[in-house]
Amino acid sequence: MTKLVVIDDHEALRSGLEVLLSQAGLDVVGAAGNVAAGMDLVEHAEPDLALVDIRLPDGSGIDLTRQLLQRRPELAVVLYTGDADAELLYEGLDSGARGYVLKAGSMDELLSAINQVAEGGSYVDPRLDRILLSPRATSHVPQLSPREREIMHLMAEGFTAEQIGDQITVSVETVRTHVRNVIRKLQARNRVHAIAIALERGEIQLEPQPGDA
Amino acid sequence: MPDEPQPDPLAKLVHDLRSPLTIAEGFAQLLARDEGGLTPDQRADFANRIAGAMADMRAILDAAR
Repeated sequence: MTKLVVIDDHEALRSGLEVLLSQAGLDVVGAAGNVAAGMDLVEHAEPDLALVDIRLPDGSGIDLTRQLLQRRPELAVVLYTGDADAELLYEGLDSGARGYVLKAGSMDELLSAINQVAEGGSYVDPRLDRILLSPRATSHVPQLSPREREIMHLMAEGFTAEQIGDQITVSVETVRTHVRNVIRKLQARNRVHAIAIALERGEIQLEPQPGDA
Repeated sequence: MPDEPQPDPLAKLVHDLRSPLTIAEGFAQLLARDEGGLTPDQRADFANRIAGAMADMRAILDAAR
């Protein structure tokens, strides 16, 4: 079971998320309302994943993410924010967060994002696709090879490097090498950004989900 | 000390409303999906959280007028 902490300054949201996420089968091991308490909490509770609000009273959740990942690189961080702001998004992805979820989304979307990230995948709220994709990131970049496209497609579907390796019968290291090459080719900031660029350029396409219009 | 940039009031309003909305929606879904697994105390607690979130939203909107 995924051990998770919630770091959000809104007390009712924090306490509500603790209950809602626990009801959904996650092991919520603590909650904090600011950067300092968040650092302390992660240090002591040793979660697998931290759900972090970007706007915190004593600093930014993005700075907190950087600090947390410096100390615990294996920690999965999902940024959870009401701001659909391009610069914040770029900065958030740069910080090493593996998920970026908007509060505009439903609780089901949040759960899906947490589960994807907890399983080693990544997630960016689909509402941010248009914002994420800047001309500088999507023009004049080399095409992906068929193998790179296949791997990015599986990654976009939420599969981990290990699962992709099993599926296409290559080692996990080979998968990671392909992903690094794709990030370099697409001039992306990280793999989440690379997925978004590949989607926008039509290099890969997602299967429609049940309930999609 | 230099002046801090002022946040966009509309963006702040939207941000502030998201949290109680998420709470209300989440707990309403929990209640709607319940097939008898929740205790009466849990149902009351969840209903109170929805009511509290609604009150928060009303207060935020009243303060913004």
